[in-house]
Amino acid sequence: MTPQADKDQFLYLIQQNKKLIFKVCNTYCADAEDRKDLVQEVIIQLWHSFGNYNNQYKLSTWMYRIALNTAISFYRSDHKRKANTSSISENIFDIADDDTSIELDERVTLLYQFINQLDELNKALMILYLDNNSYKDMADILGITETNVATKISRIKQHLKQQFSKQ
Amino acid sequence: MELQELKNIWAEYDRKLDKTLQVNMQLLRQLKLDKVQGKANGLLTLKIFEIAMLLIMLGWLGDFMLKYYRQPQFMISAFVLLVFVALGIVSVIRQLSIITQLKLGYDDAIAPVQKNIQSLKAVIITTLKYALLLIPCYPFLLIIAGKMIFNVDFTEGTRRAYLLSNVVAAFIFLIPTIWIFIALSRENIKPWAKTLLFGSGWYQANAAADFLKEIEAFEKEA
Repeated sequence: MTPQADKDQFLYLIQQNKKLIFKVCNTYCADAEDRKDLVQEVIIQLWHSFGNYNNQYKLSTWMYRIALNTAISFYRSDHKRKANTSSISENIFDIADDDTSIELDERVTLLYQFINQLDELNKALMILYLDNNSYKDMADILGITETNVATKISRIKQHLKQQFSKQ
Repeated sequence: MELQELKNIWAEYDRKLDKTLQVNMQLLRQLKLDKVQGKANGLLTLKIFEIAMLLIMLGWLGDFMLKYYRQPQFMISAFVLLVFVALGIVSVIRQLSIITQLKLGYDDAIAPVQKNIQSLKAVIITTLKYALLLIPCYPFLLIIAGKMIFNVDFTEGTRRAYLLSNVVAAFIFLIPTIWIFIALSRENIKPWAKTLLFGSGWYQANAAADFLKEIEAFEKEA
């Protein structure tokens, strides 16, 4: 495959999986300016690993691993702008205006508030859980056992119950 | 609220994104996608250069020791520096091994990749911490440099006074160095020490160590 065809295939892949990248970046980066850099960084890392993609793993597993690893590292670098990203004024991902109810936006804000209380690793677990991944896939992505995944989900459930019973 | 309710909100949000999320393809095409490769290679090159320099120093000190093995002042001085160089080599080999694994990309599972990143930071900072101890050892360097560069022995004759004044200065440096070293090796670093070391990499070292503990706890089954 020519480099151009490779790049076109990669861009198509980004287009097809835009929601995954967007949701990961949105969860780990509240600041809109930093989020632009994080999106860039995730795409660059995906491109870097694109040639080595091992098809014994699901494509989504590969993408989640890279997006989450990049986001956690970005988060831990005190949200500093990375030297390998060039500042851009526009967003790679844009949300078009729609007629969605304000009620949904409020509930999504509440959901993000809950996720943001978790540490970086549990945030990753939560995104994977909410995206309906199987326990096996979650274990593969996170590098822990399925039993451990189940235990952690159950803890998050308890934490959630406690939190909302207080309110 | 139940977790299932959160899942429902997320699913609804997902459907909204299906309709509204757009990719700016023009901007995406303009991204300099190959830049990261250069950065990873740069770090690897730097570490290879470091290890090459340290190996040259190791060989040079070994040769010096063989040449002056009958003169303890040179032998001991070279040995002390050789220990530091050898520790440096071990540290850079460890760093190289982690960088090589990281260079393969972020497509490995999250816990091991993050562990590697934090270990790399911790190794780099620990190396800097031990390098601090070189400061009070500088009279040894003076003895070797004197012999190698000027062919003089600072432990003999009138030069001894100059060396002694440097030994006294080294002792003065030794006390605060050890004090800072011990203070900073504690789990709870006192506020004065934090202020003193602001920007020196200690914060990153402690943050890396804390996150390593977090990852280990995350990997552990309840």
